[in-house]
Amino acid sequence: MLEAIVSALSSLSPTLLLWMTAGVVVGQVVAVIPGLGGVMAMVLLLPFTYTMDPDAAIAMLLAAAATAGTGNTITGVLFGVPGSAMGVATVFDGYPMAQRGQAGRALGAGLLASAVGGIIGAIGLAAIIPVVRPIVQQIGPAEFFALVLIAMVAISRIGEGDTWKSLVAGGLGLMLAFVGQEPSTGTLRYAFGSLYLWDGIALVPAIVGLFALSEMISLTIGGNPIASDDAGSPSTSGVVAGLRDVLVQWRITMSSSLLGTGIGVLPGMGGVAAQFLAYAQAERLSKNEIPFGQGAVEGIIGSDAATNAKDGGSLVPTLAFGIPGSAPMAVLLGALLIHGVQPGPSVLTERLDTVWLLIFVLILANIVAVALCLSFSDLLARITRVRAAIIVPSVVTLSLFGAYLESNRAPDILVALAFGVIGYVMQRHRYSRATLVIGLVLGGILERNYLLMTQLYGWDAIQRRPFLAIVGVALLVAAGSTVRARRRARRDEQGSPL
Amino acid sequence: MSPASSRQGSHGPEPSGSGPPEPKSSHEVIVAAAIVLVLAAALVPLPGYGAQARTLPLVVGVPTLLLAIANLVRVSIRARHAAGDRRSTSGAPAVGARPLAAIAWTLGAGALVLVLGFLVGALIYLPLFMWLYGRQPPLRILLVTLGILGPLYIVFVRLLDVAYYPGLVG
Repeated sequence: MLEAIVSALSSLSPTLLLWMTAGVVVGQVVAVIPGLGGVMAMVLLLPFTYTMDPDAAIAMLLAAAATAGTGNTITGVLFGVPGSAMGVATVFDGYPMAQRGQAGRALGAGLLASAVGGIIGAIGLAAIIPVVRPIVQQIGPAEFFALVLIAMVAISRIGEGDTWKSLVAGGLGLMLAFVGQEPSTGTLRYAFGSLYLWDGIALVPAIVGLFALSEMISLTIGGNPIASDDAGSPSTSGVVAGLRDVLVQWRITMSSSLLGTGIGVLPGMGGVAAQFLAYAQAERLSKNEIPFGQGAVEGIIGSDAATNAKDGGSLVPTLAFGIPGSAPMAVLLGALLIHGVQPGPSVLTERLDTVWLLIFVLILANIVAVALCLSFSDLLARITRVRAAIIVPSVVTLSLFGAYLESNRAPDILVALAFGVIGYVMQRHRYSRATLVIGLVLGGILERNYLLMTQLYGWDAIQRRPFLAIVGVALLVAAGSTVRARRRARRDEQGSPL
Repeated sequence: MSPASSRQGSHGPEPSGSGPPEPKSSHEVIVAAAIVLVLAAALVPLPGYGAQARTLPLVVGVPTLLLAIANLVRVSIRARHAAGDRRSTSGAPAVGARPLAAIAWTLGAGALVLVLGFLVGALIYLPLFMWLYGRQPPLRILLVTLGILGPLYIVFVRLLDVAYYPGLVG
């Protein structure tokens, strides 16, 4: 073990660190384009790595993927646009903070939380590897199904305002997730003869439209900058306040990071579910009077820490079993194979130095990414003051670019436009876009695991997988607490002198 | 098509506090009714699918439809109580005109990109919007257009060898 660590440290040459930094920069640049995330950054960089030194190549790719989440924070806070499907939860509270003139604080909190989460994920990777096999073998489709259900029920609390409309929006999101081929039989549902819809509703263009384009429609109507006139001026002290928030809310930071690492270990769950679970957990732990979904900094801390922490966790099944834990890990797996590293149980004995190199790269890349972003955060926060006449066409252009580039399909632009209009109508009539996108994102994972669960266990699932019974009770408790919380919020609202 | 003088923009993913103005009650009913129709339409093809393919859409769709119907009833009752409540101020444009124009701008941008390709579409949309909507000076229009498209070209087209979408006529 010690030899492997020393060997990995000696691999950290200036050249390798330079390539790693290049990966970080590309990851950030790509992540700023709405809809493009770590996968796109890795895919774009992969051809350049064919002739590179294997260690440098893998370091660059991992750095790009691991720090793209940091870039998500920037677009999520400043424009209300998720940088990718894994940056949705950041928008819930980051954008309202920016509108109140607290963009600096939101950026500071999100960026540092991302870095801390990434580092804890890397440390978690080092700690978990010796014991990962029996753990992962216990987790199956039934447990995945249960975890996704928990995430959906827990998140239903954040659909602020109208409970009925939130639930309707969530149900609509789930129905949209069922468009396309049914996973087990291949039955085409709601495709209406369109080849494009065989794969279902494209997630990234839908999210870009729901958040980016709908917000730009609203800004066009209002004609004002993102930050309201009565918000304070962005300043460096705001960024420092955000950094302090992460340290003050250390319980949320740590628990979200550990949750993200744990979720990342489970192949197929990825950052999509991790952000929502961590967000819901942060809400439970928060003592902030500001409701989640209206600018609670703890929401940003929880989701960003978990999203970056999951990278360390998702390296576990990728390296230990050759099973990619997420889409970026699938690309990394390809890169490992190209450069002669065969993932599997043997990598933990014969290539332990490569494993430790990845751990060190994760830690260093997150530090470099947050240092880069923080040095520009003050400037970035001022973007919220730019007039709508400049912000709107810029974001619309970048959004259409990102929506197309994700899969290079022209109909993706149509999807983005359609969801842009839908998102605006939802916003105006107070239907929760958040719960719709959660249904859309998690619906596919829910169905896949439900089908596997019923095929493996039939209706004995609860008896044969006791974890389901525990989850069932937890869901009832969570649902009850959601209803009580909403009734309390309505009573407080009605009793308020304002 | 100049920006409104009063603040009507959104606040965050979901409106909070001083968010978008309250929509007309009749519009709320129309939207609620449209959702009911969409959900009802989604249940129609289900019998034609196999048992496995229709299970979850049925389990999700039926309760959601019932919720949507309940929501429609609720919204309709509220609309009846709010009938006659005037929301438009004197001198303001007809309700819906400005939102329609904003939606048209966004759809227009998409149409330009789809038909003419990303580069040409963006080169038309960016200056047009800033000039017609924002009344920006020519130099600023030029700088912003170059500032957006220039880095995209350098990073994606030149460095990463990614082609722009060529458009239907490209």
